[in-house]
Amino acid sequence: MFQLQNVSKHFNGIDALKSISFLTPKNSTTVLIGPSGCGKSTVLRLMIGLVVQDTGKVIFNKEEIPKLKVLSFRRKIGYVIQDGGLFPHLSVKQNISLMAEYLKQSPDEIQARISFLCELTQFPLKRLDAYPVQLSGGQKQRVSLMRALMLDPAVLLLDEPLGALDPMVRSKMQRELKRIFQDLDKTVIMVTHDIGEAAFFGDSIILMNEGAVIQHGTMTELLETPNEQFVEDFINAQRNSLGSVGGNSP
Amino acid sequence: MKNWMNYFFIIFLSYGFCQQTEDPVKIVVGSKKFTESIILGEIITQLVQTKGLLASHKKQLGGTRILWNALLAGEIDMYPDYTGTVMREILSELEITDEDRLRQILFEMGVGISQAIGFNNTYALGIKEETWNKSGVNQISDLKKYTEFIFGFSNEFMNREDGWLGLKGYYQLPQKNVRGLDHDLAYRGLESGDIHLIDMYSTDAEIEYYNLKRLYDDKKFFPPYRAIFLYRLDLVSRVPGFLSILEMIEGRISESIMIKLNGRVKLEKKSEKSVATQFLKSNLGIRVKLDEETKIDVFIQRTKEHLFLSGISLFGAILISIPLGILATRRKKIGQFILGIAGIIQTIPSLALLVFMIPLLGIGEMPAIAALFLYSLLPIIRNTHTGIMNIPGEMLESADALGLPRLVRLRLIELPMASRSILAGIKTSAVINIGTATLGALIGAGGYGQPILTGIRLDDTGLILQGAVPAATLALLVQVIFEGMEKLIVPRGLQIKPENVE
Repeated sequence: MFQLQNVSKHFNGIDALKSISFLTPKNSTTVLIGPSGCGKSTVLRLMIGLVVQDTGKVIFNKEEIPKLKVLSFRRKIGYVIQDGGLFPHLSVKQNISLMAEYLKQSPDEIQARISFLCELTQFPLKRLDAYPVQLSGGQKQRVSLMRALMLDPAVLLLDEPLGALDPMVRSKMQRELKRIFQDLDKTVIMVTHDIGEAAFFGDSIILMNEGAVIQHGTMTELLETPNEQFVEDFINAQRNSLGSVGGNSP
Repeated sequence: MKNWMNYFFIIFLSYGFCQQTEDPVKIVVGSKKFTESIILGEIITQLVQTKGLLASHKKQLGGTRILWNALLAGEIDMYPDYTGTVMREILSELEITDEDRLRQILFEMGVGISQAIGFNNTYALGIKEETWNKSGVNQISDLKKYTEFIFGFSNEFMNREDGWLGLKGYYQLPQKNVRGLDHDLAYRGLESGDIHLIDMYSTDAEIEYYNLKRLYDDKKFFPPYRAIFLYRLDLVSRVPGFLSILEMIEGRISESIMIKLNGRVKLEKKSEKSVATQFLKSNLGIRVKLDEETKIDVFIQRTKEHLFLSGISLFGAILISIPLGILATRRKKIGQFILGIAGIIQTIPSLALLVFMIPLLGIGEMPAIAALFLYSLLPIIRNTHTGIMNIPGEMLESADALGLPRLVRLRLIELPMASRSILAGIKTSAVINIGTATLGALIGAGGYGQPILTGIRLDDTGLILQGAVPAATLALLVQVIFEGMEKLIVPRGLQIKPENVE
């Protein structure tokens, strides 16, 4: 679905991405993982056109991301960030329907879609008129997800979607998110730094370090045939959490 | 979503209805900002009115330059002045010494000059009787010996060739401690002993009241200052019989009469209007039906004027400043430039800014509105800029990631999120504006500054409060209104407090 070909990006003279290439398959979940500052979030931002690469190509469905029609391109992509990025001055419903209203969808259509999304994410309908400041961390992420799904995008990009939640809520949300991904059968690309989360969600995993892709494969491949010492080190550092989520550790 | 711009629009549109509608006016009389000038202006205004003509009086507009320029520009048709002032100050470069030549030169400029009204109001230097007795100063050349004397001169006298500028060289006076202050305050400074010597007009009623001694001009520095009216020559053809009206007053006010008229206003606290009416009745036998406005009428009129000045200038400033503030967030270099310029304007003293406007826009409401407009820019531009810049980056990124075009993002996300800050900027501007608008009276724009100005001139605290209290109240009221508007305009999501959540 997404293909990166020799993509490089510099920020203030620092190499954020060093000629990386990979392909993410359709209707499956790809997880981008790596330590802080490895460039995984930059990859996600490239995919939605918030960042433009210095060299190389970012291809979506066999086409490069169009510079002139980047706005309509973005509407085919759902994007969720760590603390939700909800607009504080808009109610839950206004946040979710913002783009649909702008695109002049009919009220009935909007209402039907919101009802469906509330059911999907198990968000109480009576809280639709609440404002972000009145929501818990978990609720904010549900709203953020509904907003991303409102226009029924082909792809869902999630940047540490559960990173700001406390462990209890986080674990509950992980199971729900997985169910939602399975229900929707969408292409999902998710960024996390947590190997347990990567194992739980990822059909395939891309491990990055210092702006480069170290290994791209399934969790089993990463565990059994690591490319480099770094792969083993990264996994071993988080081995305990891997066990607790039910990864297939020996 | 609330369309919050609508609220602004409704509020400021309503100011428009406060603007008064004026009757067509044929003769506009001006006067300088001291009592004698206002009395003379009032006398000629009423005299014109008794002839069945329309006349209005723009009172206490300012100093000589402002009146002279207003006359040349046609903003006023006539005003009282003095031969010495015209020869030695207005046309000093031409070094005119005789009045026939003066008449000729003024004629070429399109300005007429009446015959002498009667009295000579020359400059004089005055000291307290007590100082006079103790020091033995008798004439101006004696002053050379009294270097410790502190001089307090009216600001106009300080800077006139026929004032201190010329006098100190002519008499070789060594005094360095010379303060500029308002003429009416000078008498009080002399009385309290803070200053030893002041400039006086020889027809000032205070000379007798405070028992002051006038120093003898032993080397004849001061020229005669015979009171006359200057008028636009086109008035003669525009208003048939104008010259015959002038003739009625020419030669009719002697020095002793003028001192009495000044005293009635300054010491007995009568209004210039009633003193003028009384004069016309007892000295010229002309009865004027005096329709003194009630205090309420005057108050309502001033309130309208003040709201008009502040309302229009603030509304204009809002329309310009918000886009400029937005532009400043989009282009860093332009932003620094805009904020820099607005900041510099803010540092210009308000009085100076008002006076700068006169050559461009004349006198009256226009220059005052322009100056107030310029003053109102910075707080709104700065708060718009800050309000938008303070929006967290991930909010803007979320909006971009949704695919919102930039202008829609501005309208739906940035402006509502910055609304509290923008509104606070407008509130600051409004309060500054209302306070500064009181200075508008100095250049004939009316408003609550009018009684303050008159109160200072007449040493009448009650009158000063009649302007100061409503101005302060209006500022407070506006503050309360804006706080109420904040509840309407700032989106609810930014006003509610977080609840206790899971």
